[in-house]
Formats: sequence, C-alpha cells, structure tokens
Amino acid sequence: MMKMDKRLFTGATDKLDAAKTKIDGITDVSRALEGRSAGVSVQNVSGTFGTAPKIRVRGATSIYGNSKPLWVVDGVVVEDAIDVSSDDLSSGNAETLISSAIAGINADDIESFQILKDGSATSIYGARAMAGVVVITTKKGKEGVSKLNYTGEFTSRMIPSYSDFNISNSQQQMGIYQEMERKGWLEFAALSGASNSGVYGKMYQLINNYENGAYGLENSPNARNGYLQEAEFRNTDWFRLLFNNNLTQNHALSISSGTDKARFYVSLSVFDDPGWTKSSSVERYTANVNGSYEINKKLTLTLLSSGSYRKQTAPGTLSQDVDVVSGEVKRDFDINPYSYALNSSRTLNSKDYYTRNYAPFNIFHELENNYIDLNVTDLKFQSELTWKIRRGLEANVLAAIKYQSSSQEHHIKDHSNQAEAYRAGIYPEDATIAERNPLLYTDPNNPNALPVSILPEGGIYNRTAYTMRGVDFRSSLTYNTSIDDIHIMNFFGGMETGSIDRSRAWFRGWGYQYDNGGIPFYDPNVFKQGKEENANYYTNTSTYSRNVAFFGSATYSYKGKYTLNGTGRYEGSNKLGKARSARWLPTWNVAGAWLAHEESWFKDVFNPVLSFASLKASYSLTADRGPAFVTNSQVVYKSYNPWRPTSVVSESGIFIEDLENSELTYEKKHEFNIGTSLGFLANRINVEADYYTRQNFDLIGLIYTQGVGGQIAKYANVASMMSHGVELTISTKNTTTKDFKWTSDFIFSDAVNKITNLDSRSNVIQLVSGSGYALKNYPVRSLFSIPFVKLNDEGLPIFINQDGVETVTDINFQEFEKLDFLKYEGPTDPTITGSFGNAFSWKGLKLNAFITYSFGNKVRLDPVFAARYSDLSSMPKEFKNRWVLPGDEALTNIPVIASIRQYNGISSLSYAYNAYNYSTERVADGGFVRLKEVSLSYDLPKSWLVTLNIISVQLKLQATNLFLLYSDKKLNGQDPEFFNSGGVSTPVPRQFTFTLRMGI
Amino acid sequence: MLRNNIYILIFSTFTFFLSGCDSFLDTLPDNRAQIDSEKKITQLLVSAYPNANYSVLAELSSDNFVDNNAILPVNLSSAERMHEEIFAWDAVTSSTQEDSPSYIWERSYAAISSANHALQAIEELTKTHPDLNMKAQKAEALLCRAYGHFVLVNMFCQAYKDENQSVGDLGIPYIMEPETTVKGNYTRETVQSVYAKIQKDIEDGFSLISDRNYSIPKYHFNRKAAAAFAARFFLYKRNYLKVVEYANEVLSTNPTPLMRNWTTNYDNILAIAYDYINTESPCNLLIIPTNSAFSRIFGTRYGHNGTAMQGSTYGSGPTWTGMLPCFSGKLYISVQQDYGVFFPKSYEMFEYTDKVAGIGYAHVVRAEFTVDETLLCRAEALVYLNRIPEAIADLQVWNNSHLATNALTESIIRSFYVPNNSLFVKPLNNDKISPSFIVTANQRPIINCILHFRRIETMFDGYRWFDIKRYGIEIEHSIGKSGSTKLSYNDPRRALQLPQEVISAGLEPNPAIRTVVPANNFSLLQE
Repeated sequence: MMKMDKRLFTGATDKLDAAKTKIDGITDVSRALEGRSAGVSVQNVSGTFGTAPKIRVRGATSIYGNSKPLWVVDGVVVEDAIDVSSDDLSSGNAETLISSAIAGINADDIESFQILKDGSATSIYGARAMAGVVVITTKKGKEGVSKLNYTGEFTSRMIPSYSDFNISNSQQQMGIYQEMERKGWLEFAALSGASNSGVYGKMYQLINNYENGAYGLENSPNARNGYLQEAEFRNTDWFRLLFNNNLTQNHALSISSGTDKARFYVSLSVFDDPGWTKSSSVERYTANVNGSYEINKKLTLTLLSSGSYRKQTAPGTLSQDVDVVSGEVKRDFDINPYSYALNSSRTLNSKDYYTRNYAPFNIFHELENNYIDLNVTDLKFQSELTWKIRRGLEANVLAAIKYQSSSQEHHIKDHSNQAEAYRAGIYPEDATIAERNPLLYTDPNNPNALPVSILPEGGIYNRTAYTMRGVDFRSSLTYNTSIDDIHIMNFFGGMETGSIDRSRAWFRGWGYQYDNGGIPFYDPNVFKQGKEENANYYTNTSTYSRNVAFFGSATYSYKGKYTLNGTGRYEGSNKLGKARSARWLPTWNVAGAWLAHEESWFKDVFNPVLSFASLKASYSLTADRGPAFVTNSQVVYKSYNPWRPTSVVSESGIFIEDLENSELTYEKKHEFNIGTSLGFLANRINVEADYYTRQNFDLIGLIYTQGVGGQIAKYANVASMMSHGVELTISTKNTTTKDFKWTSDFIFSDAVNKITNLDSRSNVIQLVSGSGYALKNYPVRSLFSIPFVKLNDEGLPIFINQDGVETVTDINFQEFEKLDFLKYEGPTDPTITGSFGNAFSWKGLKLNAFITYSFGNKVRLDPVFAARYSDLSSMPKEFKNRWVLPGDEALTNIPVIASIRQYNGISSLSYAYNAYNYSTERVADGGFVRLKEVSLSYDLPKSWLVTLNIISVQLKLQATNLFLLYSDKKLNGQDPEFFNSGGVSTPVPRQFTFTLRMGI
Repeated sequence: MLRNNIYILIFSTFTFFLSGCDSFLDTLPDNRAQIDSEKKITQLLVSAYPNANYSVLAELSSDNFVDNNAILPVNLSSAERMHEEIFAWDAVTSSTQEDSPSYIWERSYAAISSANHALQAIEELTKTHPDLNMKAQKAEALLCRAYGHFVLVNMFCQAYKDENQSVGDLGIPYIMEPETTVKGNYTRETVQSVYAKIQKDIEDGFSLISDRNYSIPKYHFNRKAAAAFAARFFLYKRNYLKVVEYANEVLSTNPTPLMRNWTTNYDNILAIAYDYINTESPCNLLIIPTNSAFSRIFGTRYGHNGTAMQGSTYGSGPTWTGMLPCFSGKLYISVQQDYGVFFPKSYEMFEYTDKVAGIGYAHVVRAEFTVDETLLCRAEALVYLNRIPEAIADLQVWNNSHLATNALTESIIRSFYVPNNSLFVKPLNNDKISPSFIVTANQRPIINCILHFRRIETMFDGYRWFDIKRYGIEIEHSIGKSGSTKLSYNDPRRALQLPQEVISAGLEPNPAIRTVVPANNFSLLQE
C-alpha cells in the first residue's frame, strides 16, 4: 500500500516466498500457509476444493465475529463471495464450496505472501484488519528478463482404509444387530413399514414380496439365517467403492518479459480433478495479466486483470440443522461419500436397494442422481497510476472492480431417493406408508382428502446464484525525504472508498423431468401447499456494504537506527446501520524500532557472535465491525409474510427484527507488541521473537435482558477478551558447502486468550458441543463435558447433573443458570502451533521434510451413541466392549444397547445417550504432529539444457499429509483437524504429487 | 499550468468525497424496511399481536389437565420437561422455546414493541404530514399494547383483586416507548397500575377504532373484537356496567344467529380445526396464529382426562347427560382412549421453512375473542348487576347453541349447582380475594353455572386458569403415583414465575416458588 524504506518498518510481519511455501498438488494457496509463519494457524476443517480452511492470525479477535484475516491481492482487498462464519466453514453445507475467497488464484502466479500480525502493520488497513492481513503480491514482468514457465502437477490421492478407523466389520456388526433383535428392536412389524431400514428391513421385504409364484425369501428360520449369514460375511468396503485414486492435473503456463519502458506478465492455468469420491469433480481455469508502462519519467500506468472459472460437482446436500433440545446435529438426505462410508453398516450389499425415507436407496444410484453443479466466475479489473511529482513525492491512484458470480444447481433427479421419497406410498401404492410419509400432501380444506404426492413426476431442480460486485478506489500521496541521510522521514496519506453489493437468489423448481427432455411438470398442489405452509419457492436477498476511510502515517528515523512511527485512520461504514453516531471510527498506532547493529559500538562488542540485532515495539488500537448480522444502530424492520392457516387470510406485514441499540459501536482491540530479530554467526542462525498482549473490548456478545423491549437475548458490545502470545522463528543454515546445503526452520507460537467480560450465559448444549462456546473466564471457544460417573447395573450411563445429583436422564441441556457441574476440557482452537522443516540440497537434488504440529485444544469425539439404533447403523469398535451383562459396569464405560423395554420404560432415555456423547468419556486431545510434506526434487544440470535452449527443468516428487506422527489414541483414525459434518466436506487426503517445472 | 490543474483535481476529488461520504454511507446494509408511510404503519401492526400461545402454561396450571401417571397404571413420559414443571406449579427452567414463560414474555413484549414503534412512527409522520388521518392505526396500536400487557399481567401476576389490594401485588412493567438501549432497566409496577393503564389504552383505542384499514379484519382488532376485549377486561376488573356496555356492541339484540354453529358434521380432524378458526363464522371475532406445540401434549403423561374431563368436555351438565351434544363426533383421542380426549380447536398446523428437510414451526391458531365467550362475560356481569333474568336468557342462548338436550331454566340451574355436586361446583373464595367481591347466595348457583359453561367454552384456551385465579378456586394436582400439591386461594404460585433469564437480568422475581414435595418414600424396616 505504501512505499517505505525497509529499515523504517516497525511492525510484526512475516514475508514468505511463494515458491518455498507452495505445496504442490494443493490448489488452494491459503492451505499452504499452514506452519509457515509463527502465529498463523491453519485448520483444514474440510479438504474439499473451494472450501476455506479456518485461518487465525494470533488467535481469535472476536466472540461472534469470524476472526478471519483480511486478504489483499496487489493492493486490493479480496472479498468473500458470501459471508460464511468460522463455524459454518466446518458445516459441510453447500455454500462452503465458495467460502474460499482465493480459490480462483493460481498458486504459480504468486510472488510472495506477507503476513501482517500486529496493530502496527495492520492499522493502515483499518477496520477488518483486526484479525490480521495476508498480503499477496503476484508476479510481474522484470526488466530484461524474458521467460516462459511451465508447471505441471500430477497428483494421486490415497483411498482411506478401514484399517485406519475403528469401524466394526460385518461380523461384529451382525453380532450387535443380533443383540438388538433380542432386545426387540428389529421386529417385523416395526421394520416392514419403517422409514429407514437395512439388512433386516430388506429381509422382511423379501419375505413379504410374492412375485412370479414365489416369495423373495422363504419365511423359515433356515432361510432367514442364511440371508443374515450372507450379510455377516459381506464386509463391504465402502471406501474402496466410493473413492478412487485417479490423477488430478494442474498445468500452468506463464510468459513474462520487460524493457525499461514496459513490463508484462501473462499466465494461464488449467486444473482438472476427476474426483476423489464419486460425484465430485473440479475443473478450474485461471488467467492473469499484469502489465505496466512508463508513460514518461514521471507517470507509470499499471493494468492488472485476473479471471478464473470453475466448474465443480459435489454430492447433493441440504443444510445441517441442530435439534436444540437433544443437541443432535442432523442433515436429512445426506449422501456424503466419506461420512456414508464411515457410518454405513458393512453388512449392506453395495448393489442392493435398502429403504430410506420410505423409498428405495442405493448410495451409488443416489450419487449419480442427486448432485450439485457449481459454476464460479471470478473477475478483477484493476488499474493503477503512479505519478512521481518530484523527488520523494509520489501520488498513486488505484481503481479496481471485482465481480464474482456463482451458480449452484442442485439436481435431484426423477429417480433419486430424495425425489422418490415424495411419492413413497402413492407410487407404488401402500396405504400404511401413505399415512406415515410426512412428505405427502393432504389438502386441509377438503375434509375427505387423502394424501397425494406433490411430485408425481420428475425431480427437483434447485438453483442458488450468488453475485458479488465490489468497487474500490484509493488515492494516496507518499513523501520520502531525508536530511543528509541522518533525519529520514516518510509521510503517507490518502483516502479510499469501497462498495460491495452482494446478492443471493434461490429458486426451487418442482417436477423438473430430467428423464423427459427437461420439461417441467409441476403439480398445482406444490403452490397450494407452499402458500399454506408459508414456504417460498424462490427468494432473492441483497446486502450492500459501503466504506470510506482517510488515513495518514508519519515516520521519522534518526540515521536508520531509531525509528518512530505513528499511523491514524478514520473510517466510516454503513455496516452498523443508518445512525451517524455509530458510523465513524478512528484507529491509530504508535511504534518504534531500534536497529542495534547500526550502532557504531555493536561490531566491537558482539562480533562475530551476533551479527544483527533489532528491537521493535508497537501499541495500537484497531477495530472491526463485528459479526455481519449486528446492524441495529437503528431499529431494523423487515417485511414478512406471517404464517396464516389458509391462503385466504394471508397478508404481508412488517416486523421488528432488531431493536435499536443506540450504543452500538465497533469491536476494538488494543495491542502491545514487542519483537526482536537477531542474527548470529554471520546470520547463519536467525532468530525472530515476538511477544504480544491484546485487550479486545466492545466485543459483540449475547446478553440476556429483561426482555421488556421485546427481545430477551440481544447482541451488543458487552464483551471483552484478553490474549497474549509468543512467537518464535529460528532459521539455521546448518551446513553450507559448495554442493551440499542443509537448512532448518523451526516455528513456534503459543497464543492463549480468555474472555474477561461477557454478560451472557450459555446453555449446556452450546458448551458441550464440538465447536465450543464462549463463557466468561474461559477461552473464546471452550469445550465442556458432562461429568460421567459410571454405568449403572443396567448398563446405562450415570452423570452428575446440574443439581450435583447422580442421574441417568435428568440432564437439562437447556440449563444455563447452574453450569458449575460441567467439566472444563479446554479450548477447541489450538494454542500451540508451528512447524519444523528441513531442507537438504546436494547439487541439483533437494530433499525437503516438513512437519507441522498443533497442540492445546480438545476435540469432541463423533456422537455415535444413541438410545436406539437401526439396522443401517455402523458402530465403532468401541461397541465390542459395551456393557452386556450385569457386572460389566466394573469393567467398561461403554453403555448398553438399550432394549425396547428400557426405551419405552425410562422417560427421555435419549437424554442419557446424548449426554454420553457429550460426556467426559467422549473427548480427546486435539494435539497432533503431522508429517505434512516430504519432497524430493531434481534440477537438471544447466549444461544439459543449454543445447536445447531451455533455461531450467525441475522434476519433483512429493508426498503430502503422509501420516500423523502423534495424535490421541482415543481419536481412532478421526482426523483432529477435520470436522466430519457430511454434506460436501471431505478430509484433506493423503496424496502423492509429481511436478515438472520448466523455464524456456 | 498542468501541475496546478492536477492539484486542483486532487483537491476537488478530496472535497467531493468528504462531502459525499455521509450520503454514500447512508446506503442501508440490506433489504430492510423503513416505516415512512401510512401503509407501512398498517403493515407494522400485523406484528403487534403476540405469536405466543399461553394455553400450555395456563391449561397445565388449571384443573383442565391431570397426570395420567397418577390415575392410570402407566408410566408415561411428558412431551416436554417444562410440562412437569408447570403442572407442579414450579418455575419453568427447562425450556425457553415456544410455550415457555420466556416465549410468552418475549413475544408479548415484542408485540407491544411493534405497537409502540407504530405509535412513535404515527407521531413523527403526523409532524411532517399533518393531513394524514391515522386514527385507525393509532387505535389498533393502543389496543394491541393493552392486549399484550393484559396477557402478561394475567400470566405472571396475581389476579386483579381491587383498587386497594392490587396495589400490594407485583405487576409487570407497562411499556409505552420503544427501547433503544441494550439493557433497559425496568421496575415492576403494581397490578392495580397495570390494570389502570390497560384500561386507558383500551378506552382511548376504542374511541378511535375503525375497520377501514384492515385487509383481513378478523386478524386485527376490528370494532367487535375490541369490544369483546374490553368486555373481558372489565369483567376481570369487576366493572360490570362496562362489561355489559361493551358486550352489547358485540352481541347486538339477538346473539343467537351469531353463535358458533355446532350442527355441522365434519369428516376429519383437520376440517374441524380449520372451521373452528374460520373468519367467515360470525362467532369468531379475533383470530391469533401462534407458534405452539400445544397439541403434542395429548397422548402423553398429561391429559384432559379423569375429573378434568368429566367436569367439562366429556361429562354431564344441568341439561344434558354423558357429554354435551355439540361435541358429539368431534372429540378425539391420541394414542389411547385412556389417556384423555382432545377437541381439535388447538390442532397443530405446520409451517415449513424447508419442506425437503422437514423442518419448520408448529402452529396453533387461537380464536382469541368469540361471540360465545363474550356472551358468557355479559351473563356473569348481569348476575352481579342483579339482572338475573337477562343473565339466564344469555345462558339459554349458549345452552341452545351448544345443542344441550334440554332447555335451561333458572330452577334447573339452582337445583343442579348445589354445593355437594363437587364435580361442577367448586368453593369460591371471592370474599377472601377482596371484601368488595361479593357473591350472594342467590347469585352463587348461577355464577357456578357460568363458570362451568366458561370452562367448557374456553377449554384449551387457558381462560379456565384465569377464572380459577379470579375466584380464588382451590385446586389440587396429583403428581405421579403418590405425590400431590395443593394451590390455596392466596398461593403465590398463582402468579407464574418470570422467565429465568429475565430474573437474572435484574427484574424482580415473583415470591419464591415452592417445589413439589413427593410423598414420603419411607417404609418400615423389616426386622
């Protein structure tokens, strides 16, 4: 953003060379930052293309806000296409596919990353920079260098294996089913008309099915046992069937050249991923042009444009939702191949159709007939004019337009289970199912109506289109001067405006006949029912963001030894609503630096041990606008159609979505940073260390009020938080000879935070669920557990409840007064992150091993226990040790499979099992050490290439995410980084990449 | 020259942006509405009706429900834990969802807030557009504000006793301004002052009321609905002349054709549910849709069963035996007949937010004011005005429209509602409620008849609880196999405890509520 003598820099930043940071075969550049910079944590909550990892610079800065760093590419802020909160990143919902703002950037176009961590570095970016800034600079043409570069990456991903997970095989699973059968669960009467069933349900259907003069299966003990025995030895390998290790390819070509007058860089790239799982594939094309021209000695014009287009397919999914009473997270019609493989019984036959939602279901058929097509276009047009007015004085004007459009088409085809579910009971006719199927429609105005299907023909076509249009304009003036090189001064000032318009349009078309030329055949009842149930068939919403800022900065340095800097910014935004009182915000920073090695005495004292030393400190106020949904500096009215029993009496109205909060303001942060960099032994050992403390205040928190204004729970600036951390980077050149080099990098950071003030109280379910929750005197995202005591003599779990009493079912998940009974487990965000990398090179051969680590957080184990299971469920091997007979409670903590008698006899038994899922028994340490990358590359000797007119050729073999060197045994194969939430999420695979780089 | 021009250009760009900033930033962040016209105020008042259903709390508190586990050899679960708490007259702490005290509290105040915002907007709009006539909107806003507070004061406070004694009972904050700060700090008024303010808003509102703005009049305070509200309010306040005055607005000279038509035969439960809230029926005066899971209560631990059922819906009366004939073919059971009966006036209707995912909101539509109930209000007032023949005439209209087997006469009433007919006649503690609340021996049988008819008429609407409170009727709840708890006439638990979050935000709670003490579990040690 501004040009300044490097010596004058006072902030805590890290500059990363893109070539060294890049992990071949990983297309999203943000993932490459994992472990590269002290204080930056990257959590790969999903590995699916287009999904953003959870990135934190120095930890969380907000309680409800997203704490996402700001991405700036070539001086222009990159806007997310949609606002996905940090929690939703791990939701697996379809919109996460476009959550990564930089998925359209070709990694080969990037020259460098700069990570701005403290207030000194970020304050010039103002609001939104509170959570750190990642500045990306793309490649430019260089004067006198003409080059054509080619990079080809070929990646193969490993198929997950059952040996990595603790899932029961089909023999163990059948043993469990037999126990369930004994306990009265898998009865003919209950299963033959059930909405979901597996092996047993199928068996009963066959017994019932009389066709061609014979029953599908003879109803005799022998025939039944034979059928079940077959299932017992089936051992279906869902992973092998649903995943494949085909090759992804990424080809990038770039041309660059330059003279003293004009320079340019042009690139194209193609990425093709045929899909790790069934029904997932990606194609991405990017282009990037960067040219600059010196009109005359004083004026330079730079034109930049970049574009990308992506076509992606993903399994069809609905959004997940949470049952607040029992705390169960559910997603209907989930067909995510990864979670299907993990959660589906291995006794099922992969070719058979079982029952889901009363309709036949087969995962392969469903994945072919129920999927999402995503098309994303991303464009940026940018121009920049630099005018060197006189020596040291430079004016700069920048204008940029960004546009992103994505359409998400969810195809639910005619014969998919999801479409058939709307007909189950009607076609084929079955009076019992017709009565039970909730997806059928019964006309409320007709007293004699029978259930009918609203989807007699065809499938369901859903389309969601997002657009984002951003305009940026900035002008600035820089003045650099010095008096005899003793008094060095830099002044910088300017203003900027930005506007972003976003829209989301959604449409659902019923009865689209995929099988019949794409002709819609809709039933009028769709609209009748929609009107009665107040359900929309289309929506269109827009948001508008406007931003104005004035900024200035002044730096003074005495001989480059002592530097003092002050920065201020005055910023306005429309985000808090129309009230002018809340709109404007000043932020500032003061900082100083001392370059000790510039002192004349330095060499005499420290030579040769210490060759370089500097010390810097800063204190700043930065701010952010808080979560996007808090905009009530004035009362927020919304139009709505209140629900009415019949369409005859419907009318539209206006309701108060949020009451006025005249005290609404920005979330703010005071930060003190002190850092040093030291170079030992002629800079063979470089050490960078930073310590910071932060006071976050005016944070948006939930507060419970007397409710008399009309809202009990309100979001307001009521919370504050404290954090501090240390960051350490040690880079060593262990050996440097002519042919052999060995360098090591060790990166460590420790960041802890604590909420110091938060009026709101959270309820039990929020505190015990996996993503953690805010509670005063604990870290921002803290995980708690319901204390498990032991199993009782029936094998049911006993807990300590809110009253301090031992109980099986009397756990109140809604309790938010008496919370002391919960056991604090730890934060869900890691506190210690870092890496250890070693690079060896011998002549043209390079070996690189990169280990990342992360510690200090807790993870909730998958919620696998339930008061009732079906014959579709797949149980983890833990079930082998479950309570079976009285007396087992002394030996095991795995609760019994409840009998139907227990289920009916003990009121709210499901509370006991849900509580068990959220108990002290079901938590693990989230720390891990991961062998992230091992690579071997070979640069062909120049002498070979000269004759071919080739500048360079590099061959590289790389293994990524090889394995975890350490993780808690309790996780049993569950990746501590990954949230298995179904939908479109998949973990980051273990993969091997071959790369060819060529320069001509 | 060129240089100067560029300086000027830069300077003017800066000034242009400086001056343009505030208007640039005036862009609203999303598609929100602005209340800037008469029409928008009318639309805002659509949200001035509480979408909470107080029936669950009020019915489970009353004698309309029994614990099936106490009267049957079963061990049923309740649909929600909140039901167990409220049935034992404990503070509800297990739920803040629909039907909970938190929900009633918040949604009622939210409706009041819409009314107050509308009143503020009317005032501001009148300043700039003095020609606008927004009397009708003002009337609706005032009545909505009064109604929201009326629900709250009846639920969370003791019944109105009289001008003097109600000064000693904790009321609720009466809100007349929009809240603009995060933490409003309020104090609870007295029941007396809340009633006085409700009265003022009703009277001011009624004087301006007109139906001219309503596209769906029966979902708004139309003139008749407003009069019915006033009649009920003054009945609770024992201002009997006004009850008759307002009720006459609703009932006209001949109420018979206005009464609910019970002769229709229906083929299924949905048809009954939809017809009960039909806006075409003259008996329905105000319909309020609510978010409620009330009907999920049926077929679980608590049922309209045993004496609760026999003393009302499914029992004899002065002019019929077995069951009031109007209910014939209209009562339903859930799960098992043993668990009690259900009349589908509070049948659940579902609104999908996502049909495919099968998620949405459960609704129950309340017929909040009806001709039938207003008729009984007038009858009660007439008794106290000692216009007994007129009262009997009203009761006869009710008796006939509900298809009772025999004609109703004063002598039948006097012979049926005798103190030892304990299923229908409960001791009244009116004199203990207030010295000015007198029921003479002559009036008493007729009042008991009215209370019986009211109980039937308002079944599942929650009003029985208010009648129990008004008359200090003592009731007892048997809980489980051996527990029980009794509600004395002056029991503090007659005012339901405020929502827990509201109390911890600093509002004064109702007096501590006792928890049910289970019958002792001791048995003799075998030596």
